[in-house]
Amino acid sequence: MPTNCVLSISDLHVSVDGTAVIKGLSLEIQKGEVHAIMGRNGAGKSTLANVLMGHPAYEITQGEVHFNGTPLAELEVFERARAGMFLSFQYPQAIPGVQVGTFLRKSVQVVRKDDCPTNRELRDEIKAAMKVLGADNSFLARYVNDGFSGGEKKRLEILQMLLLKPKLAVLDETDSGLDIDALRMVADGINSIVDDAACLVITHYQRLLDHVKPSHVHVMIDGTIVKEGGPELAVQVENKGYDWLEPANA
Amino acid sequence: MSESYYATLEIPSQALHAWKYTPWKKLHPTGKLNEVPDDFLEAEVVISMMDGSELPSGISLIKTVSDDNSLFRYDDKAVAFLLAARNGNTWKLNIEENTVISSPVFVSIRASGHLSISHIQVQVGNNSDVEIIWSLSGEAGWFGLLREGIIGHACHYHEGVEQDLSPFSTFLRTESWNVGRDSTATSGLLSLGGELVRSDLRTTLGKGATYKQFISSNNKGNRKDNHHLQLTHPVGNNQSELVIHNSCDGKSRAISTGILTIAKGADGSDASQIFKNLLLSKNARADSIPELEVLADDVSAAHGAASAPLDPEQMFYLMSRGLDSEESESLIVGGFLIAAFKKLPRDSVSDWLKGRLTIHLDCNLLE
Repeated sequence: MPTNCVLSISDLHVSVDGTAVIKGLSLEIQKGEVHAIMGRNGAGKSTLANVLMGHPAYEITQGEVHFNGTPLAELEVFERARAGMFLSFQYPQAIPGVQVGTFLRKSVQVVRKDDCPTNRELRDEIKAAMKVLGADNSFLARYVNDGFSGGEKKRLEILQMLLLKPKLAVLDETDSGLDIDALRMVADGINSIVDDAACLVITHYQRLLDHVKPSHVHVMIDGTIVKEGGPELAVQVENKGYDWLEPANA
Repeated sequence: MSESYYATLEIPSQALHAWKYTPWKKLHPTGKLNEVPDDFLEAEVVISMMDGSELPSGISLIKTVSDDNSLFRYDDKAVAFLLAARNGNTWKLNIEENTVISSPVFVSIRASGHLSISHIQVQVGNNSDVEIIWSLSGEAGWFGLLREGIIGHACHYHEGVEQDLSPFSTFLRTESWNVGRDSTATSGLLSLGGELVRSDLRTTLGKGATYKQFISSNNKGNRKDNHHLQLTHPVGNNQSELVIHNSCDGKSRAISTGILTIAKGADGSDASQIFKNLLLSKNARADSIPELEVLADDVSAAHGAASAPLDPEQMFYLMSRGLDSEESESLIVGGFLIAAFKKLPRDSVSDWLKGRLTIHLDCNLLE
């Protein structure tokens, strides 16, 4: 495996409650690359995101996944996070009673153990990241995702990503629910980490990819990648939809 | 009130809503149900200001001795027991009319010895605005607290109560409060200590009054925490709210019974009761039984109860941020308990309760 290979997926098969959802998917992502996965609802995109992070409801039935050379199966969910994997959730969970500021501090302390900022440094980092995302200070005193609008939830996801400095960021439908200004701010946040990380952007539409330039685009249909290309593939999908990529029509 | 009066009262039947889950025979310190032991120690009561300043004029705490000085009339066996056991001793916390203070008052009640007791009366004069932090602590094997309060008209009374007695204590707490016309009173209770705890808290609202009670109870081991809460609207155009969050681990048990009474003619009353339980082990148990007795027509009265285990999606979310299983659970439990205090209107009270809870949970993680 090349030394810059952050994520390597080989012939991955995944089941949920006995139903096969991912049916033989292979993918490699190097540091500094942005890979976009596009596909219709139910294609298996979010399943891939959840499997990578280690959601217990998903069972890998075949294939291998390596993260920075380590077999993913050897790592618990929290160990994946500490090793540098980050998932921006499509539907982030609310944790009532837990303030955003407290949550960020605890999370940074465990994930960036070797590079843990002091309280003052962390405050400065949070301030800078919130500026990028157009969030105000009151954000920190609120409870995690509790009563947040869809756009606020996505901003908090990106705020966490900026502070946790991941080696691999998996962004699951991060563009959904965002207005155009928020989309631009979130894209700025993603763009600020791409030089030092690998990114896997999962999306239905091309609009996020207008702001975050992918190096590779993959189209997923029925649990497998059916087409790969450069940024031009996203434009084609936007114009033509997915029907032409169905295996029966290809 | 004497031991002989106590002996005349019948032992409360478990058929009564208030006594269904923790019978008097389990609470009585000796098991000789018609006796009142004569070796109670008075709990130590100390008052100060949270910011270290001197107690302002208008606030006083004095000890009085009288055989019959309860603010309310009772025919409750537990209350009669406490009144007999206190040997006539009563602490009176008096807040004069028009007293407005910017820093909270701190009242420490420390219960020591085999049997401990305290009777406290709180009188808040009209047009006052005060915040009081109550700290209940100590190693007493058995502690009985009788607290009575009369809040005058047009007052703002906001209190936080931390109960952090020894994990081996039995704690019997009974309270009666009147909230006067157009007054606002809130109470945040953090219930942490004691192995067997029964709290019977009764509040009556005046016209235009608002009373809100927020309770967090953290239960583990064999702890049993039984809250019985009665809120009475004898007149209308007032508002009450009750929120209880119980977390239960190990073989612990939380019981929350509530009776909300809106009297005939008390139109314009607005009342709600919410009970939530977080069950952290298969042997933990929580019972929540809110009851409504609504005799007026034009009212808003709502109640709800829910029990659930840890949400695996919340756990996954936190673990995806690098927190291990134990850290994630602790954060969810802490958040669940803190969320009960979300509507406390005074930061000084809610921040203190949250701080105390955080320390308590951090200590648990180290155990």
